[in-house]
Amino acid sequence: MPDRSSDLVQGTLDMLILKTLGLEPMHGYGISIRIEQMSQGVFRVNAGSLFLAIQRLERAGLIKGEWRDTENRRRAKYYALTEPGRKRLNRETREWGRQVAAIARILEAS
Amino acid sequence: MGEASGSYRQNLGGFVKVELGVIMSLLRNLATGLRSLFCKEQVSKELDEEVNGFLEMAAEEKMEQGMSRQDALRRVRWERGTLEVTKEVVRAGSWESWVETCWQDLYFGFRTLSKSPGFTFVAVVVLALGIGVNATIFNTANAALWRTLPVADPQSLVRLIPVRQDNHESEDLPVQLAGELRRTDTFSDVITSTDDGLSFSYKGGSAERVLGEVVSPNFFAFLGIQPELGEGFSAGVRKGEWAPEVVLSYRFWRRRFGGDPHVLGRTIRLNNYPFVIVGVSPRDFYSLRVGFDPELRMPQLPPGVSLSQSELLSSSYAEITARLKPGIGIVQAETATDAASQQLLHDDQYNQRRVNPICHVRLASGRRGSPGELAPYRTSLLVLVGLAGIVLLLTCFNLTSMLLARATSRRREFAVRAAIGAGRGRLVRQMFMESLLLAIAAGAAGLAIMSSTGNLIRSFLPQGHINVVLDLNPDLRSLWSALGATLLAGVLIGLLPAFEATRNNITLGLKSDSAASIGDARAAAFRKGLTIAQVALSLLLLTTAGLFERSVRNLEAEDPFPQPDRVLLFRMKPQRELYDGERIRVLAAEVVRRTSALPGVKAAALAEEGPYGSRGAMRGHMHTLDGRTADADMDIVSPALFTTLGIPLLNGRDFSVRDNEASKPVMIVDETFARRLFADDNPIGKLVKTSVHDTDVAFEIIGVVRASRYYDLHQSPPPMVFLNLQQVGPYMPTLHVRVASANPETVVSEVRHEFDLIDRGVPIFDVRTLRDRALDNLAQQRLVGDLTAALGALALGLVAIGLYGLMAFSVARRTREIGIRVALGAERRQIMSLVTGEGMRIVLTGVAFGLPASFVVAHLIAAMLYGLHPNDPFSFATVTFVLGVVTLLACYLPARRATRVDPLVALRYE
Repeated sequence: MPDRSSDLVQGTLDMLILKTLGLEPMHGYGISIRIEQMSQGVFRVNAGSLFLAIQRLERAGLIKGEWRDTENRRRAKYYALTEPGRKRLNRETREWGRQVAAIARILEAS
Repeated sequence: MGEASGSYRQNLGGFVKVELGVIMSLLRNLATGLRSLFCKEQVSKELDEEVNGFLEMAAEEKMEQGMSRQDALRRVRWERGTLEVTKEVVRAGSWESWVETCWQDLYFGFRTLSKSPGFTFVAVVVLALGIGVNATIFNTANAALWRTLPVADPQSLVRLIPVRQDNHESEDLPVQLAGELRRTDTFSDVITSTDDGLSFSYKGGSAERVLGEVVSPNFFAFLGIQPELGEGFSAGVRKGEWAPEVVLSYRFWRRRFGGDPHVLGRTIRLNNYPFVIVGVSPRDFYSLRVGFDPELRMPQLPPGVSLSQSELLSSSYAEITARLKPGIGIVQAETATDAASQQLLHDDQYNQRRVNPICHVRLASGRRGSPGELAPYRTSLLVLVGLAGIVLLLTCFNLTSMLLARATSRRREFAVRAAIGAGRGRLVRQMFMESLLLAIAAGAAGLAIMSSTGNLIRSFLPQGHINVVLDLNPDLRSLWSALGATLLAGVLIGLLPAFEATRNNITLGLKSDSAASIGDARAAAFRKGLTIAQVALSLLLLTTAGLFERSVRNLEAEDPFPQPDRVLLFRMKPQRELYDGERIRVLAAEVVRRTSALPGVKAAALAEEGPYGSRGAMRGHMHTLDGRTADADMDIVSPALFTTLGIPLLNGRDFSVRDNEASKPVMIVDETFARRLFADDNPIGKLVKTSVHDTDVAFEIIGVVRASRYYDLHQSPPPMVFLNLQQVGPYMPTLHVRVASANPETVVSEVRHEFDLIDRGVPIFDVRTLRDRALDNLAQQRLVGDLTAALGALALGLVAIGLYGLMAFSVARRTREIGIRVALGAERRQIMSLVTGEGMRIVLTGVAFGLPASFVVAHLIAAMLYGLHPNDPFSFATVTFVLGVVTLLACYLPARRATRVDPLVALRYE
């Protein structure tokens, strides 16, 4: 079972899910496809990691789930970002940018 | 969110906002978790649908690319995970699943334990003994030393303690001081209380002696306690209009009135004066003094008024308790109190005439009431609490050893479970749940032990002048400590076995040749260590018990009176209000005359205190005419007391009926006193002055008796003098009767009959033998000695069980080795000594650790020992010998089994 999401830095999956949902509400599969597309196939998320993260985020009140019909007339649970979730996303994005820049500076220093 | 939270937010700024967010999300987590716990089906179905949808959508996409449905599904399962695994992962990520698996483990543990009922029973019994002993002793010590009074706001109560000129603390202060203190702005209110014996009668029955407490009318309101019946004293009394009202204690109401709810308004007689019952105090309230539970309470008379039937009601001295106003500290209050009391103490005639007047007032927290009758038992109780803790530790070791043995034999089971996917954490938790279950069962049984042995201490406390009563219903502190002991035991006994059982890798556990496994040897080493610790601890308990018991024996041997079980004591209380000086002398002489004439009575006499002091020891300051002085113990006795008790008269004569009020005052002294004041001179005919009822009187010495430990068995005889009861009037004397036969029951009823013939109004109480009173004198030593001996016996039993278990296990483990030895020609004796040798090495190691520890403890308790050195070789040798014999027996049975090993069977074994 290839789980390339384990290559993700701890905690980044949460951030990626928030980012994905920042664009529009989406169901689980949509989230995973979007992450795959945006990373151009670098990250593939398996169902276990994804739903575990969704459960965690929903319980923390950062996202909110709602059952709806898909375009293929299938029932699916759509998740949307809540207000605290949006704030968290903004904060984490800023923080991430700072860290990445710092790490890049260190790596390029030599 | 109201105003309060608004201002709160203002104070703390942004911090609160963050906190609120965290709390909200915790609450949401809790709610969701609870929902998935209780609506398991529903939640599981939702998750099912969601994950299924996910997998379907993934498959559909693959099918669009031209795969068959089957291939697509297989591929998705491989890439994204199966439905079941996903659900498992998601569920395991939530806290409620932890709760759920804990519950499963608990249930599993319960099933495992019920599958081996024998082991479970022994384990629970052993641990229950440890917890029960602890709970009982802690509960008793708590009731005697630490319990908070069951009154409103006990923290604000303070006790006023008078300090005498010689810095000794006493109890009673002038009642007027309470009034003075109410006027200061330090205290919100003040109460007084003082007590004494009263003659109680109801509907013309015989008089019964009860203890009555006279309290200020605000007593019940002050304490804020809700009476069982009535409202305390009537409103009129509380306003200061005195009326003869009594409030019964709960226990007296139950005992004497059968708990009759219609008792209010009935009339009883106290010292023949009618009082109306207006209430019954609450069940959990005893008094402000630990161990004291007066039968009834009456309001104090206003100043300047008195009732001839009871001096107690207008007593001018009493104990004072006050309630601090909010915000006032105890130091500040003490300064105020001392200032308010100085003038009063200075002007008080009675105080100034005293040899040792009160000159200060100290304040102490009144939260627990005054230590009262139980104060001398403090050290004894603390020592017992400590020793009980050692017993608990010992039972834990014992049980750990048992569980280790069990864990060793279950290693294969654990290996199998680990092989099919149980993580080590889960296995450890499972083992842990088992030991926790054992501890909880044992804790429940321990509480049952506590409530059934609760009143154990009562048989040790002296029950004489005042019945010492403790409220032994466990309070929160007792229950918490029992729960704490239980959980601690559960953790202690579970840790080691849980880690031992699961520490080895699967392959080792699954190997068939478990006898050779390293894990077994490690576990065995642990068990050996635990057994050594048990031996050491039990030796410690046993030596302590030995030293205490020998102290009691030594003290009992000091009993100066021959055949004390043939001396009967009857305490009598002719109320001073009813019997004036002359009548009481006549009564005394008549009682002695009639009793002496009874058949079966050898001699009878009265003594104000008598041996071991019915209330304590009387002391006095003596001086000769030429200025030599001595402090001496004294007693006031009738003729023939020395004959009755068996104290030899060495010189001169006994008191006689001719020594009376009209003749010159006479005195008999003991040889210690004679030597102290007159050296080698003949003391007969010498004059000694001492103060009697506040006046100095010169007494002529007419006789010398043998020195004895009259009041206290613990001290070598101090100087002692005896005065004549006919010359110095009695107050509450005890009749001493020496009987001819060992069956005094008939004499008791005959003496009671004689009393009834003289006057039915004189209460007779506290009827017992001189031997009983000697035992009371040793109450502290007996309490510690007997209870420690019981603990020691328990410890010895536990060690025997532990050692037996270990050796039996070891023999079973070494069956093959023993078989080989026998096959190679080893004899029975050699096998025997092989096993017992192993056991004895453990015992010797334990003794090697235990002896030094015992010596240390013996020196710590040196002050509680009598007539022996802490290193008493006899005690140590005896105890070690007993331990040796018992442990040898414990090894003998397994050793005998070892000698019966048949080499053929043993080598085929396994």
